[in-house]
Amino acid sequence: MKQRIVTLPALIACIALAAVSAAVWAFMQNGAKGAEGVNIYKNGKLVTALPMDSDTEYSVEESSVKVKIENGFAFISESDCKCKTCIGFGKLSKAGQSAVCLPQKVTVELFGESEIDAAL
Amino acid sequence: MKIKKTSALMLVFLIVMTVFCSCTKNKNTPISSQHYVMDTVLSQKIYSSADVSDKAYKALQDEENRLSAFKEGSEIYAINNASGKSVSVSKETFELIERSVSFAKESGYLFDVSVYPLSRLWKDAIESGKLPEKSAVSSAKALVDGNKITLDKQNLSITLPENMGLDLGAIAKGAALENVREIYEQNGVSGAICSLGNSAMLLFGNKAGEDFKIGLRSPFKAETAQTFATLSLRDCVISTSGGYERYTEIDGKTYHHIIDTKTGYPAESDIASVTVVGSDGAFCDYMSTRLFVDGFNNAIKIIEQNNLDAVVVTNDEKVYVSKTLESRFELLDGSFERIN
Repeated sequence: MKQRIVTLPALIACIALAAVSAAVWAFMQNGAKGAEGVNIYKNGKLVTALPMDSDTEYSVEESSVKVKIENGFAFISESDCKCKTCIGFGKLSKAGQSAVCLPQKVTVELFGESEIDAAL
Repeated sequence: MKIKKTSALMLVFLIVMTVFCSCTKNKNTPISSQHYVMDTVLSQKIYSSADVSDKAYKALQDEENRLSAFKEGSEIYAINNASGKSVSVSKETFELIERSVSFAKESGYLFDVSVYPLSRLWKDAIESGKLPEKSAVSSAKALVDGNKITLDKQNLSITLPENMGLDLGAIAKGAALENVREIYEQNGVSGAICSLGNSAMLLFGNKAGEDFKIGLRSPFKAETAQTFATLSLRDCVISTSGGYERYTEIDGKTYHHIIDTKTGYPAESDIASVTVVGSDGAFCDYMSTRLFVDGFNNAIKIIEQNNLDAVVVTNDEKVYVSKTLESRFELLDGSFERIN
């Protein structure tokens, strides 16, 4: 008698596993849109990376810029520049969003999984 | 025996799927870097085995050293301080000035690189938070006249009347991105996004071969400064002009950096932001500035007559999308209203 290479239970198990794997993969691609953390750059150099899930305030070295993380939002809370454009960026929560203080060369950029490759 | 076979098959399947998932993730992770150059933020995401971001950064520093109106030692600085004498420049600088002059004529001088006396005045105002005197604006405005730029193609020299000046800030970033594209291509980069302030160059698509998804920032400041829409794009340049990038508030009024050369003051446009997509960086930069200054009705006419790829946002949160971008545009924020 010829032996079957793939048995029915094995086939069902594989299909079930494929469905679970596809769901996990889809989640990895599109699921997490909130930021995991904040990269803070001064003069283009990364000075610190902070997690989004812990409230804190960070004073950026050699500048008057302060970055606050509060209730899952990151934002520039203080700057002595006259223009205050950086504060105007508002509260950021999604990966890929950023706030920039051009006069003091400080950038706050949220990182994590994002569908958006760049923002203009 | 049966159980063993089933388990073995499941194990193989699990390994294959795990490898597949992890490969997909790594494949989509670019080399990222950030610098400050040309008075703005340079952000690069490169899909490549070699990191060429420093080469691109250095090339842009060279562009800044050649084209900045405010940097001592640049070719433009030399022109602006020549007191009416001719100044010899590099072929690249000459060609960019020549293109700028042609854009100025085409736009009826709504876009004018001889704007320097006004841009210097308003740059100081935005940085200091102090309005310039009306008389100072009026004197500076009198010195803006793109017709008076003399180009000598044979000797590659530029002559301006005394006290006039050039500012290529509204076109230099888009033009410089073309150099970055060359560097990426020469180094075998398979996909990249290079954004320089409000202009960006996309080389090919992402590593997975898909279009890049570019978020368009809401032009309305403070709490709503988020991405309101996306464009799925590849192999192109994008330029956005809006009064929200550099501005100051004085006595409750906002003053931004895009100057209307006809009035001498920041352009009072009914457009909040305009994004132009194309293959030519200098053209996209020029066109986005020109459309912003021209106002909504004229902008739509120009876009439709010239079949331009553009997205226009009005001050009352209405969004116009050119037909050519329709299939690539996705509105994310419900507070904006599509008008076409």
